[in-house]
Amino acid sequence: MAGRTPHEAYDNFIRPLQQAVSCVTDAVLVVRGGGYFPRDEPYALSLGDATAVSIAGPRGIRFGLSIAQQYRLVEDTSTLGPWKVTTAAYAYALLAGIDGEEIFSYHWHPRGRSLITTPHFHLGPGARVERNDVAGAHFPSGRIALEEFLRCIIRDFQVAPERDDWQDVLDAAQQAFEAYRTWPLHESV
Amino acid sequence: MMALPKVTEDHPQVRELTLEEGRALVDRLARRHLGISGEAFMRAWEAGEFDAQAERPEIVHLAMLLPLAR
Repeated sequence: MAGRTPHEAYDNFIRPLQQAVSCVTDAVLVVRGGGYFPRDEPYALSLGDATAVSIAGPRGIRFGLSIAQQYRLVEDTSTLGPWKVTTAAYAYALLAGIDGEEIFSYHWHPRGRSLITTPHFHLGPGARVERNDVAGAHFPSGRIALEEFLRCIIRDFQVAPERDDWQDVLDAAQQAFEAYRTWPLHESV
Repeated sequence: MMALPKVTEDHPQVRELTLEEGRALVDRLARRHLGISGEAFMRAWEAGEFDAQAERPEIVHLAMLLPLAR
């Protein structure tokens, strides 16, 4: 997301993200105050102040939703800027309950301690996969927008939307995101 | 591009943490999931002591949030 100032770029980044998560929960994103001052170190955000928040599934089922992301504020020499927020890392996961096992997750942590630095997908113990190789696999995924992940859990896991206009909100947020991203959708890195 | 719906009171704004609150959050999660302080986790993480568990979900999440504490 771009802006004329770092603060505007940050606002254009964080506002649609908060709207996107409001499609499945009334929990809010937790960010660092002043997370719009340019610095070398990335900033982090989290959904809620725990590892996961509880969200409603079908037939009274509760899932856990875990969202963490890192972003950087960078100067953008293109006409979109001159300031831009770029995603630096993410971890999105659906859990079998707020303290339950992970069902599946998308990770991208290019500068973390893991040997796997490209975007990938995990099936967790909550997916009840019997094969150890599948359970431990890092499936290449391309980078995934948060909106895609949220759309998937609503569509395929019947997570209950918290707002009637969730499709419009996710579509608009993702379109805004894609207008400013510098990597192709589903790029294999 | 579609216009973004307005954020309403039903869909509140983000919560901003101070550095101290960020450190407290990391400390709380580290103690809950790993039984160590946030500072101890940060040191161990940087030293590579969690490299073998770097894909453990709670460690991925915790490591992702370290910038809240810096």
